Amino acid sequence: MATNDTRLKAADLGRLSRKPTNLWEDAWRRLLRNKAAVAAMVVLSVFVILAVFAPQIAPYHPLETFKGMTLRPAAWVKGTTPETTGDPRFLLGTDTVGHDVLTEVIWGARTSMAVGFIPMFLILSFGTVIGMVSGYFGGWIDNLLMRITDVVYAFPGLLFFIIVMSALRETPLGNMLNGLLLLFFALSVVNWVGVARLVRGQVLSLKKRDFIDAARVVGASDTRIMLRHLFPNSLAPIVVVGAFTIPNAILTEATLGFLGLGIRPASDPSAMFQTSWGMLLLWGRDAMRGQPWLLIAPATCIALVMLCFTFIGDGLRDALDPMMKGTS
Amino acid sequence: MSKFLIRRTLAIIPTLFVVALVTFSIMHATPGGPWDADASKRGTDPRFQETLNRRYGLDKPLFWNSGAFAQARAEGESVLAAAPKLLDAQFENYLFNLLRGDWGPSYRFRGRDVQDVMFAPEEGRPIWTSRFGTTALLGILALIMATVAGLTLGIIAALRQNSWADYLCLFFATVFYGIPNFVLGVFFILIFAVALDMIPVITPAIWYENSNAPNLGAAFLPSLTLAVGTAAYLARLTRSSMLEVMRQDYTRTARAKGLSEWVVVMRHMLKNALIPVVTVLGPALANLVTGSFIIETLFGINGIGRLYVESISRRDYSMIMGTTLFYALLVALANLSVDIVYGMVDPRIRVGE
Repeated sequence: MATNDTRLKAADLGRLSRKPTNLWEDAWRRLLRNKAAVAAMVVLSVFVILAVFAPQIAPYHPLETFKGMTLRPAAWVKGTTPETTGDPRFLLGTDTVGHDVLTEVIWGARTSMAVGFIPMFLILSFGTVIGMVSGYFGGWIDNLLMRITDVVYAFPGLLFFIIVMSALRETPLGNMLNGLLLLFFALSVVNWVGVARLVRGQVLSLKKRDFIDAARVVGASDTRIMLRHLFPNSLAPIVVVGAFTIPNAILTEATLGFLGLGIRPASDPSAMFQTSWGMLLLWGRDAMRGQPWLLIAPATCIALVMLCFTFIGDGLRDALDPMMKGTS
Repeated sequence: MSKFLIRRTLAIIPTLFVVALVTFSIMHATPGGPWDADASKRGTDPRFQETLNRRYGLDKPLFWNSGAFAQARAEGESVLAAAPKLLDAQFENYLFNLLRGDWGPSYRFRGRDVQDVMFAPEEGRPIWTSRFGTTALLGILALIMATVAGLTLGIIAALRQNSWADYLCLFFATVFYGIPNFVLGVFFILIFAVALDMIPVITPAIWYENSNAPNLGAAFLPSLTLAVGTAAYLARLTRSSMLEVMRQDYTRTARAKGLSEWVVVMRHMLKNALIPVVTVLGPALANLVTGSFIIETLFGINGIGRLYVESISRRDYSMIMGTTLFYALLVALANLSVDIVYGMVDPRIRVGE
């Protein structure tokens, strides 16, 4: 504890001579002081780089099959026959059809990151708009929102995803982006509700404050009050929710992939998304004795990414609102 | 309190109705039907399919049988007399049958009803060896493990705050809270089945063939997998809640009175610290329940979760409806039970009073 005290004093002294900082600068500084969160951000940026530059980084293309090289173990494994000995060309071995596992894992990062980040923007923007409008104006919009919330909260999310993904798989929507678009859509339909409810609560408590009355007295319009006063003041919890939305989405995709309901295996080599970690787990399950890396590699990646987001989410929450520390 | 309970219980009905409606609509919005799987193999001829559809009522409209209504009106019946004809559609028929306790025939398990597949044991075996019994056993074991481990770890961590025990508990709680349960299951299988060869890769039956006792050895790993995430979550929550309670005046008073440490911890601290923990038991329980799809599929266990996943791919409509409603009911009941327990542990916040 002693070290913390001295650090606190040094920070206090520094604050006396520094120009005033805003919430975000303060939060960023607090976040950087959180070692776990910083480490998580570093690991996560590696995954983001892998996702963006998958075609350049991966040694092969995920659809490239190597004849007679099915289910080879990892490169360092020494077996009695050529079939059970690793090949230096394939660091993590090959899968049941002769694809390079390392390549597939790298391309899987791309799917996971896309599933994490893209629906998040949809969820946050939709949820924020609806939440602000229903919190600010109340009335029938508010009633409708609360009824929808009740239903969504009662419908187990995974159940809904499984039904949607399996039922709409053969429709045009289910074919776009190898089925990812449908997943984005399903994730957004369920998750915007939580955001809307949070923003609504935030707006309800904010709009009773004096500064909102003051804004109204000087003649600010409803739109202006919402955009310039209510929105910036509810941004902090929205950011925290966003940080927890991403891992949920990634986990959902991995789970669905494992049940065979996630992304479809690509047949077009130019497709943006080729494979996913969940799908690799599904394939790896049948070959776990001979080629455990087909399981170990994607499982480790999923676990790492989930951990990173847990640390970042916790760190963001503590940094943005020290009062919320420890709640979850 | 009872008024609140009745209102809360009745609120489950519209929820389940909406769940049924959404599931039904999505399922039927899709191309392909329950006979497709056979069509490719057996080349079911269209006349046979038609007969099947008629027998199972699949030839009727989904929501409004306006055809039958118009016909009845044309035959000179009054609007009121013809109205029931309008409701003679697949969705309404399903709901009416459901209310009578008939969940409809399973399209996949020929000759068996949905409730029969879900809840009835094999010939001559006790009722708890059914698919439902299997899922329930895993869930109960997991719930016990999660609560015991979570509370114990949380309490120890809080009592020894900032010691190595605390850091160890926190570390494990954070790591295992973050790792999804099916990834954990994969690691467990790799470690215990593949590397150490301690258990078979495919989990043996949860219920012994010749006796009616559960094979706890087989059930252990799946339930542990289910439990770990919840245990970690509960440990984190219990710890922070205990730390809060430790600083309260009544704890100091209890110590000052010279009560033994055990009494202070159990009677004064824990009782209060558990209130926030109880509030998350509902979602945690729901999490355990829905976790069973993955765990049962992963370990190859014949429970309701696996049945659900399989009936989705086989387009066994009535089975999907049955299992979905069953899961939704479980989640609703889990949340309801938490509201009840909440009122019991904390008389200050009886909801709705």
